[in-house]
Amino acid sequence: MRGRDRAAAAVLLVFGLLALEEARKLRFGAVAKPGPGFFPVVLAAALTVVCAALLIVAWRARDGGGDVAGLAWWKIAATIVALFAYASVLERAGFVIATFGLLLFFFKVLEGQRWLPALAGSLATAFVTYVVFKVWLNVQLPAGPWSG
Amino acid sequence: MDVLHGLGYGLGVTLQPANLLACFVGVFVGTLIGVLPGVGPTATMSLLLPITFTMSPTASIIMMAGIYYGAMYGGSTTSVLVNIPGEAASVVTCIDGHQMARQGRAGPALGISAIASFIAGTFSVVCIMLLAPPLTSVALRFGPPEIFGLLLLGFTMVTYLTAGSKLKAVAMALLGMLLGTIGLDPISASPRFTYGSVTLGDGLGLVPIIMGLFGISEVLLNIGAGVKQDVFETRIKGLLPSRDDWRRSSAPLARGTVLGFLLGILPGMGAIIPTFMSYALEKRLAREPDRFGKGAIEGVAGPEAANNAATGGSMIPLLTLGFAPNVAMAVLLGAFLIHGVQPGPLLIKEHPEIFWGVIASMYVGNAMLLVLNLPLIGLWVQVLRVPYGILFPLILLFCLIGVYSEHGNVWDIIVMLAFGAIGLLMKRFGFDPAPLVLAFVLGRMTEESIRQSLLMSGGSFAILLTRPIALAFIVAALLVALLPLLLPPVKRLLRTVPPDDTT
Amino acid sequence: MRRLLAVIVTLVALTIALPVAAQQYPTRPVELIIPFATGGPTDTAFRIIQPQLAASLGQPIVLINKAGGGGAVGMDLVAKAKPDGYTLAATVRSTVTILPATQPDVTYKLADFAAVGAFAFDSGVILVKSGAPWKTLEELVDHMKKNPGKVTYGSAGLGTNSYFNMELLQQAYGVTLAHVPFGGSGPVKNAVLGGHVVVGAASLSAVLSVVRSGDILPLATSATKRLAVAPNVPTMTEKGHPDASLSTWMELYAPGKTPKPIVDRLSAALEKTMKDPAAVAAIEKAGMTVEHHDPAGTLKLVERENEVVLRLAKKLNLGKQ
Repeated sequence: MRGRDRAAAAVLLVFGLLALEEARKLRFGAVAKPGPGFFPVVLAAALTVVCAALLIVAWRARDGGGDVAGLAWWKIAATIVALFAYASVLERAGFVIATFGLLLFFFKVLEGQRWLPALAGSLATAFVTYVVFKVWLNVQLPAGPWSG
Repeated sequence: MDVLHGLGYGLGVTLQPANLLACFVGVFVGTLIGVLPGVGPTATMSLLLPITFTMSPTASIIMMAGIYYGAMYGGSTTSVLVNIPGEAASVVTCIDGHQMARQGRAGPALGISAIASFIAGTFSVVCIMLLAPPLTSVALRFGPPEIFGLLLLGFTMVTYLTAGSKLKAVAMALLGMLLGTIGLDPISASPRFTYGSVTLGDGLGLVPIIMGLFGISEVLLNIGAGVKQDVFETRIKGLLPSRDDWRRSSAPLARGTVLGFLLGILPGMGAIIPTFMSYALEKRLAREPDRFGKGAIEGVAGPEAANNAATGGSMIPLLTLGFAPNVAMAVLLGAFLIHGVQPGPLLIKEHPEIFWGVIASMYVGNAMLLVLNLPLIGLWVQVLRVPYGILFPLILLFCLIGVYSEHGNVWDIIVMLAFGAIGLLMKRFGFDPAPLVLAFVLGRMTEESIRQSLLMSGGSFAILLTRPIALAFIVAALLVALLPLLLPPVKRLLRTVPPDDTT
Repeated sequence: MRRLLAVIVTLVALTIALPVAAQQYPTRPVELIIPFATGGPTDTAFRIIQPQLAASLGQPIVLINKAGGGGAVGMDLVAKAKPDGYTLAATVRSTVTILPATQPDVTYKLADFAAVGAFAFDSGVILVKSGAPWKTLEELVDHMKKNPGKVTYGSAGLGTNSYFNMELLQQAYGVTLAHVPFGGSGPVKNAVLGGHVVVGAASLSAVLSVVRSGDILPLATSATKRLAVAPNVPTMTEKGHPDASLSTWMELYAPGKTPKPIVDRLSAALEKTMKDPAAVAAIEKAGMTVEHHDPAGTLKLVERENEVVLRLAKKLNLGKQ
């Protein structure tokens, strides 16, 4: 617990200081006539102070134990990477193709399903969601190369 | 035309087959998009606007309004079942609603949301009918100083009421406000922290942040924890709230309704802020505040009542003054205008069939929603039985679609994913994302209102103290902040709730 | 046999026609990029004319909302799009004039676009609360002159038409006002009605209901001539200040290098659309006024307005913080 609190407070403290440094580049104005930089500077300064306090509290706290179950970080990382990849190809490949790929990755690689259900499930879901959202609900989705 | 006569006339209008169908389509679509995370009522209403060209003005307004309040019913479903807000206004419902689902009490959680929504929705329609004209003039007196005072009160109320460490909550609130300053400064329109990016000029989007912090992070956590189905393996106990649930919920429900309605009338409030306020209020009033965050039904009933009542409240300025207090109402205003109808003080005289028809349709629509939603609870609960390996890709997909469709911009997906990762870390490190989101919304409004106030007064802070409503709010905020210090017993009551660890 | 012949004839015809493909334009759906989210006034205006425009062009029109940067994201996309007439900007004039002039991060400029036409405008309007001691613009200006820097005015935000109109008004009459920016015309209306600011500058469609109900008194509009919906309200042009007359013009732009035949084809379709009584009625119901300009006419208006905007932006030191 203590270690994690310290780490979190430290990271936030660094962020607060960085924000303060950046905010100071904006025009500050005056208390009765605040400029664009007034609020950011005040907020960043306050964040820095609060995080310093957090750090002190975390330092002085006794170790609370509070053990947490470990996470399968590789799965989380793989999911995040897959989602970013989806975002980068979505508009070029179009919704159906990109979604098919993403779902196949989840079903096959992450969940280890067999090929047939994984393929069928991904394809069906991509098509059905496209129909429901684009055709019925008129939601904006990229059609991809076939939009022609 | 007196109220009862008007209502009877309105019912006659609503019960015409075409209008009844419009009402049903509206609430049905509303429920659907409410359930789907990210796809919001504003976008849906505007996309369906062209369809209404061929309909009568009354039918189209009835349908549009139905989408809006229907979405508030549906939004809670996703919150309870998968811990992802189906609607921005259902963020708070996640906190206790999802905990209830984990304890096998998804049924009562959904049941109380539907019933709270119904009661609050119906109540607000009655209020619209009775109070519309006088309340509008009060709402107009809310200028920047009054809004600033109200926000100040809101902040002090919420500060004491977050689970876990207060310092952490304050840190998250400050971080949220700081993130809110990204983009064009609301007063001088000069870019802040945009680093040459045009897209960042608009700032970070609220929907991607909410979806990321609450939705994506939750899914990531479950994936990492190897959740298959064990989370929901608890037996599902009962589909409807028990007598004990009712006893606990009735007062929060009533308070949430009144609070939501009053706040909904105010410009710029939307349905989100009232839910946070209601949750904060209930937690503060509760005898055992520790139960909040662990499946307290009060934490579902209050906010759910608040968001539906707020929806009704926001109709008041639209119908009586023709001004839209939030974006969704702006779209509804557009629907009026396209049909050549000017909402405003003259609406009731010029177009009684629309004014009374819409009001009567809201009674009918709320009843339809209750009938539609209660039987669906059994069906929704079955969603929990779907293996997580199938459920999570779908949840992610809905989040992706919802966030992309709002602006048609991949950047929003990136923001959502980034906040998903941040949210995951926050949950692991015991930080609550709710204060961040609330501060993100309120921070911008706070900065805007105080700077507008100072511009109005030529740089004098006296403007905050010479206007009675503003002064009342500021005094109330000070009282709320100081009361615990002055009264030790109250302080003990509000003592720090032990931090709840990673969920 | 006959069918084969028909195919051959068609193929030959196509081959001959290819060099003059522009005459056949459009052969596939045309994408209109709206640089704002769904639900706004710009989005509404284009959704209203979408069916008629598609019918005039003989091809479907696909409306795509690319919001971001106050319109800059979508406009940037069109500025860099292939100039083949299949990607157009469905936008308001300020996104090619005020936006690049005031936002340092916006890199495109007016010359990156070919104007296809303007078809409707939402007039700007200067308003006070009914019952205020001023019944005309002159009386209000008098009051402003007696209280320099004291009279507050609310605009829809810095970098909007309403703000520019009021700054231009201050120059025209030699007065100084205290500016309180609000986030859009709706909040300006509330602030005027609630008495939080003395004067408001907003777009007419947003305030029409309270103008009609008599709660708000419009003192002047930015329209070129008096409006049918508000025949008693004088225009700034009448008052001798045509430059202080920025309105929200709904316009269609193609990427800068789009061939003239394509622009002309689009312009003809737009012109035909605006002769459709249903489209005109729908736009006027939304509080806007229909007024069509061809590419040359539009460009002339836009360039002139752009000069005014650039001069003022430089004077107010906007855009270079």
